[in-house]
Amino acid sequence: MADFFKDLVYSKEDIIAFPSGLPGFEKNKTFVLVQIPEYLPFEWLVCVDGSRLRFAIVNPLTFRTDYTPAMTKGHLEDLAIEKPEDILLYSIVTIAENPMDSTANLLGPVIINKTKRLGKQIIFDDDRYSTQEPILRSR
Amino acid sequence: MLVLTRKLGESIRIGDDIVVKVVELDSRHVKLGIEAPRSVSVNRQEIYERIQNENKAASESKDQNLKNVADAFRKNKTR
Repeated sequence: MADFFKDLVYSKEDIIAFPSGLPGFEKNKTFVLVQIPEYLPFEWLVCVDGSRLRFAIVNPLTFRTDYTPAMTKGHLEDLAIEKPEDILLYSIVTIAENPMDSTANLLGPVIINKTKRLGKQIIFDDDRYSTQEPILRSR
Repeated sequence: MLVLTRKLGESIRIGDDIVVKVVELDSRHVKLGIEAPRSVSVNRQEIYERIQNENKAASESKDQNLKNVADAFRKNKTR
């Protein structure tokens, strides 16, 4: 994997700006989305500032069809979202040794405006969701 | 750390557009009202830390295992 991302080819238009980084990674502000067929529905959010930072991500609706994060008008404005089609919704995945134990962060989803190439991790104060929701274990 | 004493109903102002007001008090809890621009995210510290810690754990998790997770996911779906 490491080598794969080292030689990653992308264009300027692919870059998604995270103006405030992500909590814990406030200095990492530029990322690209990478899809590799055999990993789908999982994708990668790869930092392109020279660091080796990357996150496995997944659209949480693929395993939690009832997921409804409480987005506010402020969140949408923050990301300059004008229409629902602008939005990409992801959860960051923590990959476990045993694949069945892997989890996704539903408390802090990553929202991307794919038109404006702008992203942010939004923190919800919502006890319906946790930072470690099982992806594979049946609920 | 700057420490200020405030009474019930009093506020402090941070910069030009953030106001924190003491709304309710009892012996163990303080209820704070916060006025801030929408672009400023306001979170309880422990929630912010939970996200921070999970991001760190995720960034250090073994990405070569994701292939197995993807395979298991697809098997799960078709079952």
